[in-house]
Parts: sequence; C-alpha cells; structure tokens
Amino acid sequence: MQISEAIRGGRFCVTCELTPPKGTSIQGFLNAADMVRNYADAILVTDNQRAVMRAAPLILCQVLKSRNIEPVMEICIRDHNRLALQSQLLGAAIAGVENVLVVAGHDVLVGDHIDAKPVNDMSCSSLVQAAVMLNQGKDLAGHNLEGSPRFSIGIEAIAEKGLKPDQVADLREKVAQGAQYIITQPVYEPETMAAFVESVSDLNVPILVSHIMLRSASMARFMNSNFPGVNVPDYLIRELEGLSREEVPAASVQLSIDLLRRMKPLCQGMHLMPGGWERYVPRIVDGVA
Amino acid sequence: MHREERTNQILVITSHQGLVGIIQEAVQGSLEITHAADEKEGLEKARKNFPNLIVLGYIDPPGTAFQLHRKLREGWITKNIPLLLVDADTSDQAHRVLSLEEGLQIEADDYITLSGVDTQASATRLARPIAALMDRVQTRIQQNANVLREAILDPEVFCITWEQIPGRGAFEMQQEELIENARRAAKKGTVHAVSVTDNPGGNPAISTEILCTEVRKLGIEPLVHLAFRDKNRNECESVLYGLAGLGVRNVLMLTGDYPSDGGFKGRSKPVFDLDAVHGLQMLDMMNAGMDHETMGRKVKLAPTDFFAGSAVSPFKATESELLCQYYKLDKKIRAGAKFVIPQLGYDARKMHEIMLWLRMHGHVNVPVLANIYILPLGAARLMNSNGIPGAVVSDKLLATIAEEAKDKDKGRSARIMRAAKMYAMAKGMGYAGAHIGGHGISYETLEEIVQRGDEMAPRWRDLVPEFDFPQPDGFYFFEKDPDTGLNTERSAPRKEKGAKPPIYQFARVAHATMFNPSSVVFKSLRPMVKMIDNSHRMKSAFEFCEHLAKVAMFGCQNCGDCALFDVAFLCPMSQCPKSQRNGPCGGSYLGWCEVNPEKKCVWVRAYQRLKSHGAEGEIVEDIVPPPNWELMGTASWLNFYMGRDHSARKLGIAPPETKAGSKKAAQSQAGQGAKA
Ligand code: SF4
Repeated sequence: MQISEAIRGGRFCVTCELTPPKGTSIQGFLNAADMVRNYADAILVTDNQRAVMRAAPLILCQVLKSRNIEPVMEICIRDHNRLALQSQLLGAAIAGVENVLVVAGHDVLVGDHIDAKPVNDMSCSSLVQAAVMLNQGKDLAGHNLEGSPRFSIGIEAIAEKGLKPDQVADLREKVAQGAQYIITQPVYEPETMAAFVESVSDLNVPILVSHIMLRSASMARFMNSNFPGVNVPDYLIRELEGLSREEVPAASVQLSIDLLRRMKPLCQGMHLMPGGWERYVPRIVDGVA
Repeated sequence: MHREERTNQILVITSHQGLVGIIQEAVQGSLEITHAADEKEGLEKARKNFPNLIVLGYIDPPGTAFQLHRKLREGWITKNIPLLLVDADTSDQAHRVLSLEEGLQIEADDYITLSGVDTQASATRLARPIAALMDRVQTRIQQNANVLREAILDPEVFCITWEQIPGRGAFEMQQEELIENARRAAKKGTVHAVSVTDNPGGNPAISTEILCTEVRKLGIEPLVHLAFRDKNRNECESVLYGLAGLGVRNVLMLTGDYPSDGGFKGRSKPVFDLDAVHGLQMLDMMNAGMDHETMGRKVKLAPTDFFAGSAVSPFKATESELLCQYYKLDKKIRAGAKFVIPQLGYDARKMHEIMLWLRMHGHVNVPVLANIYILPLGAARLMNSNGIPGAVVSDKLLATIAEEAKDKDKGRSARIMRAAKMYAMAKGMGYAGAHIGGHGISYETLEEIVQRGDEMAPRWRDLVPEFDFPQPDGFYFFEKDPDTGLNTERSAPRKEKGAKPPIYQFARVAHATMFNPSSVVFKSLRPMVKMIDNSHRMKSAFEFCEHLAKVAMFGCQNCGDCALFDVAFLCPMSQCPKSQRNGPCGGSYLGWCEVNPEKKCVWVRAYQRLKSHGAEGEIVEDIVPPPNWELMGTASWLNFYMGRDHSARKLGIAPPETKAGSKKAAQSQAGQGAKA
C-alpha cells in the first residue's frame, strides 16, 4: 500500500517509527512492531538515525513485510553514495517496499561514530529524482532497468513559523522532482503547524505531522536546545514538572492526545516516534481518532 | 537528624572540573557541594549521602552520564532525588553530556545547556533552575511530612485516627471497604491516619503492612499495627525495613492476642520472641541507624524515620494487674513509645486515670489517643463475657445498650452519641486525639462523631456521670473525687495481699548466696564452674541435672538465658503463654491469664510475691532483654557464672579470660556484645 494513495483515499493516515536494533537481536523490534501494528497504517524504519549506527533498515522492512506489516523505508544521503543509494532502493523494491522517506541525516558529530566520513554524494532532491527515475525504469545514468519499483516518495521538513523563502523553494524543488508527501519535524504548537501548512499550501502535497512523546520536563528542554526548529512551549513543560517517574506516562499521553487533536484538522496524517514508548501508541491513536 | 531533614546537600557528578566551579559560583555558598568525578564515585556518594539535589554533567567516556542518569533514576535509594543534567562545554560536540538520541530518553527533573557562555554567565543561568529544584525539594519534604506525627505532637490539633480491619482473604469486602474508607478519608481531611490491625483476634488476615503501603498511595498516612505474636525479631526488623523503604512510618507496637484456634489445620505457633518494650527499643535503634557487622566490617545502617506508639490496658479490676500495666507502660515510654493508645473501655474515671498517672509519673508530654469504639449490642455482649481480651463492658453498660437496641433505629443514634460523648470527654481531659473504630462505620458516621464531639467538648464534665461503669470492686490507681466523679491526685490504698510461697523463699535465699557475684560462695565456686564448663562430659551432666531441678521447681524450658531473677522466680517462658518478660500483656482478666484462665497471670503472682517484702516497685526498674536463642538448651547457671547471659551482664560478671574459655563461648560473647 502506498501512503500517498491511502491519503488520497481520504483517511487520516497514521505512521509510526521504529528504530532498528544496534546488534543482531530483533526481538525487541518485533515486540514493538506488534504493539503498534494494529494502530498504524505503516511502520517507518529509520536509517542510522541521529548518526547512531544500527542495523540496515532494508532488511527490517523485509521482516515487516513478511509479517504483513506495511513498511516505510527511510533512506539517508549521508551514509551512501549514488551507487549504494540506488541499489538499496532496488533491493527494497524487491523486498516489496513501496514507501520511502528521503532524509539528509544529522551531522556525524552528534552520533556515536564521530570519525565517520559523511558521504553526501547526492542531495535529497536528487535522490528523490533518482527514485522517480527508478520508478520509470531507468537509473540515474539513464540505463534501462529490468523491472521497476513503484515507490511513493516522502520528504521531511522543519515546520517553523516563519519559513524562509529558500526553505519553501527547497521543498518546492523536491515536490517538483516527485516527492509525494511531507513528514514534518515534531511540532508542539498548533499555531506553528497552521503557519507551516499555510506557507506550503500551494505545493499541494499531503502533510503528516510527526510527534515525539514528552518523557520528562528535562527531555523537552533538551529538545528545545538541541533540535533546531523544535519548540516545546513552557506550558507543556510545566505539566510534567515535578511528576514522579510513574506519573509521567499518563500525563504525557494526555498531552499528546490534546495536542494532536488540535493539529489533526490541519494535516492529513500523523507520524508517531515513540522511541521505546510503543506501549502508549494505542492510547494515543485511539485518543486522537 | 534524619537524613531527609538535611536540606542543603548538592552532589555534582562530572569529570569536567569547570562545571564544579560554575555551580559553586551559582549557589554562592548557600548549599553544601560534594563533588564526584566519575560514575562509580557518583553512584556511591548519591546512595550514601542522599543529597537533596544531584547535578550531572559530562563524564568520560561519552555515554557514561546517560547510563548513570538511568541508574540514579531506577535505583531504590536514589529514584526520588531531583536530578539536573547540565551541558557545560558545548564547544566540543563529542563531549556533550548526552547524545541527541540519549537526550530524547532522559527522565531527569531538568536539563540546561550552557552553550558558549562564560563562567559568570553560566553561573547566573544555573542559579534559577537550581533554586527551583531546591524549592521543589522543600515542598516534597513538606508534602512528605508525617501528618500523623505532626497532629499528635501539636497540642493545638486533636488528632483523629480511624481503625480498619484487614480481613482474611485477598479479595473480600473488608478490603474493599478499607480502601474505600481510606480513599474518602484522604479526600476529606478530618482523619490524620488510617490504622490497620495486625491479624486481629489472632486470626490470619491480609498483611497490614502491605495494605498500609496501599493506603499511603491513596494520600493518607497509615498507622501499622505490629503484633509480636506472629513474627520473631528478625521478621519484625525485616518488615519494618520494608515499610521504611516504602515510606510508611507510623507503627503501633502491640503484644497481640493469642493465636486463635482458627488457623490452618489448627492453632498457629505463638511466637512472642519480643515483647512490645523490645520492639520499641529495636525501632529506636533503627531510627538512630543500627550498627551491624558484615564480613568483619562495621557499618551503620541509614537511619529510619519511624514514629512508634504503644498500648496500655488500664481497665483492670485488680491492683496487681493495674500496677503491672502501668509499670510496663513506663518501660514502653522509656523504650521509645512516642504516643499511647489505651485498650477499649467505657469508664470516664479510667480515662481520666491514665492521663493523671502519666502526669504524676513524669510523662506529662506523652500524648494519648482515646480509644473509641462504636459499640453495638453484639460486640458489647462479647466484651462483657471477656470475649475480646482486655476490652471491658460492665454488666450495667450492657444492660443500657440492650435497652437502646430496642429503639426504632436499633440503637444506632445512641451508640454514635456515646462515641461522640467519649470524644468530647477525651478532648476535655487533654487527650491528644481519638482513635476511632467500629464495624462497618462509614466516613459520614465518623465525621458525625467528630462534629458532635467537638460541639459537646466544652461541657464534657457534665457527661462524666454517663460513663460510670466501674467493674465490680474494680481497682483504681487514684482515689475517687466525689465532686467530679473522676480522680483525686491521692493514690488509692493498695490492699492486695502479698504471697510468700516456700519455693519463693527458698529461691531468694539460694539466689542471695549462689548468684550474687560479691558473695563468698560465688567467688569460691567460680573456678569449679569454669572447670565444668570446659569439660564436655561434665558440662552435659551438669546441664542434665540443672534442667531436672529447674523443671521440677519452675517448669523450666531450658532457654539458657534465665529470667527467673527478673520475674520473682517465676519462669516467663513456661508460666506465661506469651513469654512476657517486661510486664503483663493486656489480656488478663480478674487476675487470670488470658490464654489459660485456670491459671493466675504470671505477673499477678510476681507482683504478689514481691509485694510480700515491699519490693513490687522493682518490676518497673530494668528492661529485661529478650532471650538470646543462642543459649537455648544450655545450662543457665553455667551461663550466669561464665558471664554469658543477660543477668550476668547486668551484674557485671565478666566472662573468664578467654584462653581457658571454649571458642564458642568467646564467639557468643562477641555476638552479644554487638547486640547489647
Ligand atoms: S500470663 Fe499474663 S502476661 Fe502472660 S499471657 Fe497470661 S495474661 Fe498475658
């Protein structure tokens, strides 16, 4: 199932993000997938997210597919050159993957292999373009393919209030290349989301708002200082302040539901990033529905 | 001082020296800073010093701070200590306190980044969050304050505790009601603590300790009853640690009714390893931080914060019983009882007597909670036939209640009124509060009693005649005041006769000669005893003979730590079913034993024996320690001569030089030294 198709069908689309294991044991990953599978239209598998080395998403997408779960494969331009990127995509298509999310990735310095060489052979928009070409039966160099994928291609965007013209231009460029939907960075202010939607309205692509549950007041402050474009307003942080470890999840679930309900009318879907809190996904999805 | 009362300790864990300086600058000497440079030291200091706030900065190698943050958050000791994560040096991406991925999972109380700011500016930025967290520490301490202790100790507050029955079973209506009552009490605020009895009536019931931790979660202070009937000293200590760890701090130390015959396949084994006096002593040691030794290393345990009370049964008909009750109460207070709840009774003069007794015996400041039980006819009948040990309902009171039960409401309003009147009297007499109980009482009823009681309190003296239910020929400590119907400060004449059976006279003479360290006999016998003690065969023979003689004379049970000297040559191990070494339990009735009504209570006999030569007051003097089970089955006379038992230690008999003594003797001596 292609995400863009699902959205075109008119439903509020829910995707949920899981991180591959650091190592070869996939039990935790599978448990997490089982917890959310009935509450999400698709599960996105991240690609060395935040520059932390983990198992390749391609293989985990295949595992999901074999369990009848619709995967979205993240593919990051930082770690592969154009040969590797294209071969990954073809491999994914063979595994039955129909959705990819093209991302730039964090600087290697924030991750766990700070001496790694960032590749950045292609830009995001050229990778979008390459994926579209693969869909059309050609590789980047123009050679014909034997059999071709049918990817629905997504891109990420920072949803800021005052989106700068070059940011809009960048998105416009990617959409022009063939991107079919946008997944935003986490947004904690509905007004920001509204402003973002407004500024990209002429692109005419569906938007999924992403969401990270707040684990604690400190975690929220950490995001504010370390994730560009993320702003958790003070009133939300105060809700969690002084709560004990046991009290936080219930409060946090409620905050997520309230917030997402307010943003639901602005967008076409939501992308949950539970990061270990998969057990709360069902309550949030039910609460927002 | 209990560790939670220190409010200015801050622990900085970081391998980045600059941060320590910044924090020093930020708090300007208002807080005491301890520094730990690595994970191991940090954990150790967090657990040991129990700081009020932990500031965690970068620690080598990357990833360590996050791991440590986890351990602190999940740790039993450290889980509630506020934690502030600080990113001090962000010039270097690789040396940030957390990676991005870690940052999304932190559960600290606060996080702050000082990126690209100099020391002075950093200090200014840190001052606010630190102050905010310290404020929160203060509020937590306030919220965490022991409401019951405060209410009992505050002379302006009349403290209300509500007694609940745990019930046998795991999913029963009693438990449903108990939790519901606790929930309502927590919401409404009239009640300061909900108390849960411990296997009441000697029947098994769901654990009061576990229920009380649940009660605490509902937001009201629990009062745990701890009866020594079912638990030996180790189990008591262990249960108390469990309670302390989960924040339950109020305990009522009780001997406990004898085990009922309703146990699994018959009556349970009565334990009574400690008595209430011992329990209070143990708790006092725990509160001070108990010393103990593991693998040759002496350590002091972190102090607990218990607030303990105890009971007294003043509704006794005879002089000997009553005096012994007060002697024991005196010991309980010396052992650390911080408040007292008397047994049930409906006699204004007795209610007044306790307060007067405490005042006249130097215990003016010991708060007492009146025990008020809402008494229906059935329970009254049971108490009247002595069905509830120590609870007294006289014939006259029973007749009154039977009359009231004929009312349209089956006596409901009358019994609630009676409870409210007792409440009013307690308030008038200077009680610190009321301990209210009653089967199936709703929260509304409880409030009704409190409200009416408060209304009637100013004219409490008028109510006294309504509580004139003495036991026939009942003994009172003080003479009656005919004007008030209460007591004068003059002690009543004590006419009970002493008793001097021949065995007692014989034992006294034998004691004065043979068991007196300054006597010639003792001194000359000691070398011989030492010889016997060192020879295995002679020792066994001696043990056998001593046992035979003492069984014949005293019903000895061979505990090896003889308490005959302490109880007028009556063996508390064999003659008292509850092995009480410091005074009677609350259950005796007209001088007869609660458990064995054909026998006189051992303490009544002891009192009479001592009274025969004017020495009954000795009972109050020494707190007799619990038997040392290490000596079980050994000859107590040898133990005395060799300085191994509690009496020898009391008299200062030192064990002979160890070269000659057996290894075991030396060891046991060392063991006792640590416990003493
Ligand atoms: S002998 Fe006295 S103290 Fe011992 S159980 Fe009987 S009544 Fe209680």
